[in-house]
Amino acid sequence: MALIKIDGHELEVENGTTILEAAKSLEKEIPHYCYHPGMTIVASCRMCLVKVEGMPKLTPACSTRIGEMPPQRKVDGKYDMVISTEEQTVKDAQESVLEFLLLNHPVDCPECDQAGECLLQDYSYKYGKDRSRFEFDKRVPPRKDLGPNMMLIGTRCILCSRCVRFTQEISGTNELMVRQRGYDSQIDLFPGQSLDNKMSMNTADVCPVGALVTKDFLFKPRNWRYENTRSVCPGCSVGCNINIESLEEDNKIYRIKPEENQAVNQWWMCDDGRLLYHTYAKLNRLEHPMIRKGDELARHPWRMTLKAAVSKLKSFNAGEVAVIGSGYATNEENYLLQKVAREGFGAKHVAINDNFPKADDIVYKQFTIKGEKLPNFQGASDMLNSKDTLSDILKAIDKGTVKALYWLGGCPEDTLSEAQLDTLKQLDYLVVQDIRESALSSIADVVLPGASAYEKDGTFTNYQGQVQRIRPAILPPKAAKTDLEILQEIVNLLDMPKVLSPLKVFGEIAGTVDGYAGMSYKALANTGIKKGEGATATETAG
Amino acid sequence: MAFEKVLTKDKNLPESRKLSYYEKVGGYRAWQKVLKTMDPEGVIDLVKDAKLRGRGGAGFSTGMKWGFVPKDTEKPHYMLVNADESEPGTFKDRLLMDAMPHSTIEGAMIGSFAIRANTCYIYIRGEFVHEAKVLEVAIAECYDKGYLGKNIFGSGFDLDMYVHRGAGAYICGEETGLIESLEGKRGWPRIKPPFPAIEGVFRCPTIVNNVETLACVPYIVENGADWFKSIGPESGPGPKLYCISGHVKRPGVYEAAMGLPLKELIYDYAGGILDDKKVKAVIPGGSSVPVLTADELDVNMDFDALAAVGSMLGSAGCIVMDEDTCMVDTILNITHFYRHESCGQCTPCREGTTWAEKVLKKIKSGNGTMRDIDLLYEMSGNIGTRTICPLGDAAAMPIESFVRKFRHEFEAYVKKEVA
Repeated sequence: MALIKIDGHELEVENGTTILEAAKSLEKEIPHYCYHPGMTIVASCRMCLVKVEGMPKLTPACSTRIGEMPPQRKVDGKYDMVISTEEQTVKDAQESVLEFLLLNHPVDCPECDQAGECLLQDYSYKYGKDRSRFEFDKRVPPRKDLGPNMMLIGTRCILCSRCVRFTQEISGTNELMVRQRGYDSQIDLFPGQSLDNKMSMNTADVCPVGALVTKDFLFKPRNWRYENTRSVCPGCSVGCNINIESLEEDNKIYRIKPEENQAVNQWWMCDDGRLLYHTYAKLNRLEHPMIRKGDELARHPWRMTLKAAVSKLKSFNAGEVAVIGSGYATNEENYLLQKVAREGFGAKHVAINDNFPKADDIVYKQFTIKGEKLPNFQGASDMLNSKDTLSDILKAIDKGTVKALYWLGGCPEDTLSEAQLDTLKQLDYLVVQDIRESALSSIADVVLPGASAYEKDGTFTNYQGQVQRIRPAILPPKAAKTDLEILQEIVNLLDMPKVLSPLKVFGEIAGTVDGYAGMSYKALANTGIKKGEGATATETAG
Repeated sequence: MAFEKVLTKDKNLPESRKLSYYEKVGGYRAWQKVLKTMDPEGVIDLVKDAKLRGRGGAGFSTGMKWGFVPKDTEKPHYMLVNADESEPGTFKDRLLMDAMPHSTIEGAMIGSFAIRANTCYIYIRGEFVHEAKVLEVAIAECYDKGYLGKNIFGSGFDLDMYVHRGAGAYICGEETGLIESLEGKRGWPRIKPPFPAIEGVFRCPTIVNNVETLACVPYIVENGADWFKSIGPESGPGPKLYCISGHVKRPGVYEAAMGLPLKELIYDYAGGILDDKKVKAVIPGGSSVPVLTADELDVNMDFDALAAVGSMLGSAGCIVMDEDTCMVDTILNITHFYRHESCGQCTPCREGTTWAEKVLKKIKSGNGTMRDIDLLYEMSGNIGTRTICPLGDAAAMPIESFVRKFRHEFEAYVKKEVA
């Protein structure tokens, strides 16, 4: 351990800590561009220069490591390093680096998509000059189409090289480089390359300015207008932490970006997950509860629909009712579903739908996109606590032992075959709780419109067993409700003990499901807890 | 004691390129002495004791540098010869490599032995095609004679030596830029620490030494540290090659003791100023060091004496300017060079050198203002000391010194007193 002083504040740090990290732990900002905690330190932007007592020159905070000094080299007899981030020489250096960076910058903030989340903008306000002394023609590197999702607006680039390092160190795909030298340096693709890897949009995140922009976020409303919701990507079983940007006025999602979670996705996410909200937005959503009248499904009020479904399901003999849980639904929903099935309807068959095409993992240098696409297959399996799968249920239907089925869906695409649908048609009664119109919903006796992962509260458990919170960014369409709300109403109709919220359901899960003991929403916080570590995590959280 | 030439004593082109000639004048005796009678620590101590300081510009103790290589690592060590001589006004290593290639090679062998390196690369400036060929031939001769290769003279020591040609960047003469380039990457200098002695080429312990530095080593081994220390000033002794160019009658490379009085170099060795004009200014150590005015020339050419007057010995590339020289023109030329050679990695150097050149062009075109002169001066302070490698300083120091010492010439342009 080393004892240091930063701007008068004493601090003990591990040997090898950088000045930047030490300052961060004091919530002291040292401005920087090229440094990114996930990539090699290059110390080339020179924005983070600070004064260290005893060093003749200003030194970059990002690359200068603190170490314990022998007694005779300690400052004031006790400090291993004394740092100033605020003295005039440091301020002068910051101002001059910003001046250099802005010389050739077009300052096209009014039309730049990065405005509002641009470090050049932010630091210029905080540390820069209020006018330019540059009176020559600006450098105009070209605008480039880099690949299906990415654009480079070269004029805005400050050559921090983060994007190049991303393709070298994280994706390992090496499409980008700095070409030419000195003043003529510019970011470019290697000849014949396209920035078309599935991690490409992370380069826009790491770009501290508006040079690398995603085509998806061109000309959209300004970033400060959005509601921000921290959640988990429903694109695959990795469960990347995300921030969803949405507008209340039109109940739409405009952008999804990764949030840091060292246990899950570090700082990254794949382009598929980032753009998945478009898939959901285009779905032909189920928007009203419906009951079959002959060949037609007709809209009915919620209460009437649910009463009809519950009384019908209760009319079957115990064991004739089966339920299908979903890897697209939350832990809370699956838990309540099996509880309703077992305690309310006396169902013996509780199964998970595993009828999905298997894909291979896509492995990048430091990131893997899972082939298992269901975001909560692990959690749903834990909650349903059953060995049965869809094929077991289909067999039971064929045998005639299962006559009524409650289906919890949520998948954005069709995966049932004609043969499977034919089997399901043999049922006496089929309740489909799902998000989209499908071949399945068209053969249902009762349709209950549910919600997508972007529209509800709860938890997902990723493939590694990390239990994480998902949160609603937008509302389900029209009369649709979250699946938990629907199940809660069924609980009420069945005169079972009420559970009022996802939080309360999760409390029950923590008390009953293996591996979830000791967990709570409070303890999960933003980054979640690994299965089996709930008790320890809660203790540490105090 | 009169100085007797050492490094260029036996220069006798084209004969002196040959191994047979070099052996006749005592070559490779030091190498055999080292292999047969010395251990690496002994060599390091000897060179330390001789107070040999690097001739590439920084003037750091060579023996001390060698001593930084860790002794307990499993990784291979590398010796790199910095033959990327590119500093404007500097052409001494080129002469050595052309006329006496074996002295550098022998020095590199001894250095490799001292730091326990079994591989040595000579990184040579790409434009030095002829010198690269000379070195290739000389190295082949050494393999034939058994001075290089496996188990040299039964000592158990193996050494391979390669010539690697640069691709035309000044920055690759900076040791970590050189290392990156040798690895096949862009010549972007690395941040230090780690220093190359700990983590250099291929992430292994590496020493980078200048050609002239290594050429001194065989003579130290042969004649001893005391002999070396008897030449020139105590703090940094030895024979030294001085390059002199510009408005002198006999420009060229001259060998003399370290600490040669600058005026002696100009007026005796180089025969004085062309057309017997007055001298206006001298850049003593290659274009990157602060300029000296005519009043500041009573100084010796050594590391400490030049540092004391606010300049540097650098590469001892002395550029002499007569009374008719336009200082604005000169600094524009120098700034153009550094602008062109900036690697572009660090913001201040990439942007600052370009801006400075534009401001200088504006002043020279007669459209400048007094404010531009101040801006230029301020800018030099914002480039210098703020970058990863010394190229920022190299670009900033001349600007700072030219504006400070010859401000009236810049003002004359602004006031339109210059046609």
